[in-house]
Amino acid sequence: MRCLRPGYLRVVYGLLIVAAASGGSRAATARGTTRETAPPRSERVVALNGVVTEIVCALGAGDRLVGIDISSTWPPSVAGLPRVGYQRSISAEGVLSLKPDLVIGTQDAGPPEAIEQIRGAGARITIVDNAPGLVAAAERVRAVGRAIALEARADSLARAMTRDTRAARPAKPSGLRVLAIYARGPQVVMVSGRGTPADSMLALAGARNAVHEFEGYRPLTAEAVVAAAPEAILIPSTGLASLGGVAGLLEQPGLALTPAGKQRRVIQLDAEKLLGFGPRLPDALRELVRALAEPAAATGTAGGRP
Amino acid sequence: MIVARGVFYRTGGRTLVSDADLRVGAGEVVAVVGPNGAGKSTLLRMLGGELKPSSGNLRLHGRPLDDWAPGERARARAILPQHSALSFPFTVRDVVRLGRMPFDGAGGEHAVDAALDRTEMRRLESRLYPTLSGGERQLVHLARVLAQLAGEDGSPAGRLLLLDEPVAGLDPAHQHRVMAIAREEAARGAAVLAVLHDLNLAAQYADALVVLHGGRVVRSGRAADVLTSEMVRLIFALPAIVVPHPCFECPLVVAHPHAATPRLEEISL
Amino acid sequence: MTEVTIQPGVPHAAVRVRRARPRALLAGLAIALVTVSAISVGIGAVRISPAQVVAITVAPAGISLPVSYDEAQAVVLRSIRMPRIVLGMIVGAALALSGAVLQGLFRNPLVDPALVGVSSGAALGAALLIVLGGPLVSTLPTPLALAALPVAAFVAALVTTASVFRIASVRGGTDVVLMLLGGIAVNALVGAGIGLLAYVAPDAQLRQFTFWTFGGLGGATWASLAVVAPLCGLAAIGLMRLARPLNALLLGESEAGHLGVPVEQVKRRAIALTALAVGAAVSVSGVIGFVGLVVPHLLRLVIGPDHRALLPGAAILGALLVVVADLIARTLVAPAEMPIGIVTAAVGAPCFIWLLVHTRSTWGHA
Repeated sequence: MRCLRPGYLRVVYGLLIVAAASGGSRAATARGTTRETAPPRSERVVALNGVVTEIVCALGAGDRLVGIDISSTWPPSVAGLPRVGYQRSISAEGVLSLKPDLVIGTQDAGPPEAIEQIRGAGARITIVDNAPGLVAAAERVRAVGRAIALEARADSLARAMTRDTRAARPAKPSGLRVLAIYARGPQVVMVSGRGTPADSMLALAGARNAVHEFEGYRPLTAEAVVAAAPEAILIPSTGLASLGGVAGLLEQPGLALTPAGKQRRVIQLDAEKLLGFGPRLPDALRELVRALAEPAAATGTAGGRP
Repeated sequence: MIVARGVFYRTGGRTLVSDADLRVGAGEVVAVVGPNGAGKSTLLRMLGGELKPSSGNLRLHGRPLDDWAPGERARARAILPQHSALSFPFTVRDVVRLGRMPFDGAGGEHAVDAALDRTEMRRLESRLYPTLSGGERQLVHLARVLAQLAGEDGSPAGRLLLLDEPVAGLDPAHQHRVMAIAREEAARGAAVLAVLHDLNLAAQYADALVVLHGGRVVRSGRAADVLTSEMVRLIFALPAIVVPHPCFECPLVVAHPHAATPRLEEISL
Repeated sequence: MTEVTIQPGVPHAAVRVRRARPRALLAGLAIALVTVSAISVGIGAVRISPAQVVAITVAPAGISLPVSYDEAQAVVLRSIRMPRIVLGMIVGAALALSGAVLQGLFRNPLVDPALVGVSSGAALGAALLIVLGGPLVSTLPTPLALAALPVAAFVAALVTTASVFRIASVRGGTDVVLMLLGGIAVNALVGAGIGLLAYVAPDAQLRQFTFWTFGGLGGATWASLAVVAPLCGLAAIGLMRLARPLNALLLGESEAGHLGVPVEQVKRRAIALTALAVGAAVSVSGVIGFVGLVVPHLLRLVIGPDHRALLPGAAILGALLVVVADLIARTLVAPAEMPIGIVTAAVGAPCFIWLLVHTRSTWGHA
């Protein structure tokens, strides 16, 4: 039939190459720059991370916030601000509709195209590192301070944070073996290995991460957990609730066979506060140290409010 | 017009057609008969070019069937299949119009009209195909095939019409109508080959009969010569008597499967 | 097509079937698409008045209107909204067109690119590239790097679609049950593959990959369009040319062969071009469901199964549907954004159920 010429696919492949070659030349031009030194004072700030929001507010610039992401839950005063969505999938136009002159996020912020589009529209974007650890936390405060032209205040906040955190550390490390769990319902139960925020917090609190064979998060397996033999389990309150409380948690493979499980020694704390490495770090560390020092109560949980 | 010589078809370790010789010329109607599983449909599909013979010679208009490109073949012959897989809600007219596809639409509407008229499907032309009865659907496909056979000039002359059990599911009046149409096409110059189960229909309308049994052509020739009670009893395992047709110049096969003794002497072949 | 009635005394339900005239409908759909797109360009989280829209649009041509707007608005309109709407049209057209062709190929109106493994194959291809091929791609010059994702998606989609087709092929055609089972199997396999990749992926790549599976048009840039548009365009042209052979194919593969259609070639082309169109679309927008299933079905109700009208109609209606869905997705919870797949499902699923219930009678025993 006339309509099905042979060699048609060859044309397709050829045009593929041509299209690819011409594709790069039409990238949107980036406008505006991100400058870390001597920035102008920004009146309208969008924060794409819970900890960034906390820092901005702790520096007294909370009134400059015009938009936050959905993981920003602290302080309570930001509850009424417009949400631009989850930090990993924001809408460029949504952020731009808030007319920000500064957007602060971490390397989790995305998608990359949206970030580019925001930059291209002339808004300043500052990316701060979200690494865990005390040193990183202090640097983070300073970086945000630089972005909003409040370096002096940021410096003193960072110093106070460092001092208070160090003071909150126990005189003698207990060396308690703790298993740190991240859960989002019974189907998603992960164990925190090296380099995670939970790992860092445990080190600061003088405890030991029961699991140190890998970095990052891995799904829970019965054998690994039993081999780790943790003496206590650390889990965010929301995670514990999603598993159906301590009873539900201990139904997870292997947990009931561990010393922690047998003694029902489960510590639940607020996730953002505990793992955010933000201005509430000293407080969080104090709570954790206290909880770790408590022997298991009859009801089996120790720790703060959800 | 179409000649088959020594055609075999083997598949999966079985030989479905052995050493078949057959020819159909323009103006002729040839009926292929035989018991179930004799290889009739296989033979027809080879003649239509759908199946390739394992060995043997098949020529259409003197050229080997293999040499014909699919488009060319579609303009030279039309096949009415036993079953249709169509289930989409085309209108009857749409379905018939599909038969014009090999001709890219030239002279199409006229051929479609003519085909619909001859099969008496005109009054249903806007009906949706899936809402038709089995017999009506059969007639729609016949109309489609006629539209295809009409070619560019409206005449089926020089074309081959293959019918695979065209009267299955039709009432007696329509059975005869279909066979009459086959005769009309032949009269206008087509070569017609039909696979039939009904021996009397074959006898009445065909110029020649080809009897298939176990994949082999066991008899061929005029109906009067081929249809004997002995043949029917042997090939079809059906006791029958063959008498002259009261109205036409052809034999009439009367089956009597439950009679104790046949009336006529059995003549050994 | 004229109004159709069923004769009294016929056993089927009395159904009046009205078929619209194809050309009128296509023209109407095209006008609707242009109108909706024009309106959509003016709506979004950032307020831009219609006058400003016009002014910003004509400015690059040197025409300067007495309407003031600021740079941010111009950037939003030109670099964010316009590529997004164009991408929406392309993706919608590609998905709907592929759905229509696959339905014709499998001779079953319940086929959807996702069901048959095309979309998930594309997803797997993209995932493989992102997670495993990242270092390799970054060494390529930018133009080729941009094309790498759609090409990877295309190749993987081709493999999965061809596999399902192979599984479903029986003599003389394809078996629907086998097709569904094959699709389930392939989708499960792909899901396992993607899961495995997510498990072994280092965090940075996992992040990149999860952006992409959310299914949305947010990542539209003129650069990515420059790659996806020609690919989808070529695929669309090729697919539309299959309209007449597909009509014949509906009769059955052997009948189509009798009518002179080169059946095997048509099948191969349909599969390859569908994989190309869906692969390119999915590589930029993630997996968007229901468009490929509902759009052709809806159209068939109105203009019948003739592919010569169905295919272009599906392309236009698909584009229209995705532009509308995207408009809803980005305005309903502004300044945040919903994944567009949720909108298409929320609209598509009830639509589909309504279709099923109301077409049972016209179909006889389809």
